[in-house]
Amino acid sequence: MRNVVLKPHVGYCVAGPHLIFLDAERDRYCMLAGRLEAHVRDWATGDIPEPAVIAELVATGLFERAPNSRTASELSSVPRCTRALCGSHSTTDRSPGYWLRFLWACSCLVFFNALRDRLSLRILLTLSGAPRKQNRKPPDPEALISFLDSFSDAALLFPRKDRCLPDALALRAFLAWQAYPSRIVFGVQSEPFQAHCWVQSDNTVLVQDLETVMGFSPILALP
Amino acid sequence: MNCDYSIILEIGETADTGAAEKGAARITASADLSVWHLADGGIVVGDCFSEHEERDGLDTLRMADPVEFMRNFERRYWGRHVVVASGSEPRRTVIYRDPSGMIPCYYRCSEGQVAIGTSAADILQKTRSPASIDWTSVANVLLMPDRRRRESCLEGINEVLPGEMAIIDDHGIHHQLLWNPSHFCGANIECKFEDAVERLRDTFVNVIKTWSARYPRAVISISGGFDSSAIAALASQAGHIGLAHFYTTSPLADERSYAMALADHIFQPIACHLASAAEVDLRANLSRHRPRPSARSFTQVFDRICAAEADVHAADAHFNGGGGDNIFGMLHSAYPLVDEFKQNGLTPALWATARNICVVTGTSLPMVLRQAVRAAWKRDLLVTWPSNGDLLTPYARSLLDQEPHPWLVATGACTPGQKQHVRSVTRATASTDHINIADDRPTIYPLLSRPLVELCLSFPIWFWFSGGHDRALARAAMRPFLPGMVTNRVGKGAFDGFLHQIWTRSRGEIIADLQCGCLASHGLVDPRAIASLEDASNNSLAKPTRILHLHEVEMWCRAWA
Repeated sequence: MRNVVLKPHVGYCVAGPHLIFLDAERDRYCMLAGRLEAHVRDWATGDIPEPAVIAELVATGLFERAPNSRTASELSSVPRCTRALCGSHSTTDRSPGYWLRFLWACSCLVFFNALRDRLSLRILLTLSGAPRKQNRKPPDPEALISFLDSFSDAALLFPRKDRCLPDALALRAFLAWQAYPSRIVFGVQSEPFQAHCWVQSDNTVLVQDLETVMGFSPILALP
Repeated sequence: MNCDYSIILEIGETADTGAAEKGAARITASADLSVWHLADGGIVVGDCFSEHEERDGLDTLRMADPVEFMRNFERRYWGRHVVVASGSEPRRTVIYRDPSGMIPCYYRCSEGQVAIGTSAADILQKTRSPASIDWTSVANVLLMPDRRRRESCLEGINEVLPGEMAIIDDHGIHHQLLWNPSHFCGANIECKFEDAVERLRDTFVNVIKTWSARYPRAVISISGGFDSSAIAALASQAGHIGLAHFYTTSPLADERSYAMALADHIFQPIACHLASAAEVDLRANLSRHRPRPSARSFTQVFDRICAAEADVHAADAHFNGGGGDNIFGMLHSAYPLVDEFKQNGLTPALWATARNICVVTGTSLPMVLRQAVRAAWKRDLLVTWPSNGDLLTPYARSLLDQEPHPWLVATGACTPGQKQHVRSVTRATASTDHINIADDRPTIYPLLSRPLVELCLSFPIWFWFSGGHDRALARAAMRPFLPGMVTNRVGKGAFDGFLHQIWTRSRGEIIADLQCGCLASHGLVDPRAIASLEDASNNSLAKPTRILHLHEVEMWCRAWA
């Protein structure tokens, strides 16, 4: 049994020649020094580190001594996206239902755009999953598309550049309102380093193009 | 070497009267360039095509007045060419360069002679002139890499810009725009989208057929994007082609799935090559023989691969998809909304266009509306040229030449979207002389062919954004020839990752070269800003494409300093 595991809200992936870690609790991406990184690679293949190494790994703040917590193999279980569901931007639906969804989407976007730089990522993630209605039946695929249409139209009113996080948080909250299961996936690229996030349901990326997310290696998925 | 030619003409009092008319000019040209001596002494270098007649029809053009001759020539022929004509009454020599910009055209006048060509050393030697770098021009190259000025980076050597003619007479030298882009802007403004699609498709097919007839065996570098794929699909129906694709270890520049989808679709084999940053020779600037630095170091790898593929296929040319983003209206702007408003007034269709622009440009609706309202409100809107002062000194920035490009001057009466479209095409014509620069085979940019450029400028600019897709008209026109995976893709690959690899691999060498090089000693680059690049975490100015460009210019300057 391993005696060191990643902390909750910490993920990692191989990006180029390095391992990149995301600590969502502390809202930071990081890499480890070469020697420690080699130990993590060994650990990921099942090796149990020496006690001194375990102490060093715990000291990074990314690991903890909790043998029954998540393991690396669980992290790699984020399904790769193979399809995308985007809003069409050309819907002709202007029913009261459309406007209700549009206004709710606007509210979510206003909320998370306003708070992005004021609250920690951990709190924002908690808030975006909060309005879940457990007793509601998730929308069928056709209804989901009209939801995404409303959200896409609403998103046009907000700044777009480098806004993937507030968009994803807002979409997650918007869908949680309808009890639609989704999760936020964080992904990274190396050389040069770039980070991105999106909302995913099974293997479907929502309100983004497949091509946009395919170049990123998933590092952490949060329900 | 391709696109290499030299023309020496005697001019002025000492000239043998009628020398040019008698074909007495001294001309040399690389094997890829045809040289055509006209009956009245005119010289055509390159390829010229006419929809209505064979090239023999050139001899029917009267040469009495070389300016009039050029006007007639320009109306009849397109292709890639430089034309020189002289007349004695009044005595003047005219040099015309076609608007595609595919053949560079530099010249220098000295002591009764004019030397025209592409080799700076040759021009200087023929005019017995010393080489001296024009540091103001170098500063302008650093500030606006894709804007061409008439002044080259070597004193005394000037460039005839695409579509221009240089008139040399007893009063001196002056430049005049012969091909005027504004004549075509909005010429088909009443056209319906479906008609525009048909017309674009027909013209695209004809242009590729024409180039394929001239160069029946071509190697096409497929990026995986729309433009090069469209050329490959059409060229495969018109001649023998070889397909080459480059990818890198960076996920940002691995487009093999798209390139192979295209190859499968048109039933052509494709050779995919891994481009390695280790193969780039940063010390070599392949444009060092030209009067201005144009070569990019990272394309050396692609050039080598393409040359090898061209050997395999016994190809006589490279076809390149450059210019597609430009002629197909891929603008990051709200100006098309203004154009539509000015044309059709306040209609519900404006709302759809505004949304399409938001989707294509990734800009919010309020931003789009704000820019559009400002542009609609402002009379005589100037479309400015973006400049980049990163890593430069205030002195270098002060050397910026504010004179607009002649194509922009010509579009003074056009709508904002049309002006921006013309600026975009202008930028494309400045980037035609660095790919495969050392190869014997020429690089053809079919998308910059005049018939296509003129047609693309003529359509309503908002058509290019239809359905929330960039290059929408072209996508619709090429849909029958391309796989959906290519036609419908929204993104495009970039070599940013590859440039990053080159930069990180040679960071120390590049910084050292820039800190104690020609650009620093002439006060153009900021040594403190360069020194700050040593900190790998400082990414604010450390855009690899910018740093590598500075280094490429530094290497060119060292060759002439």
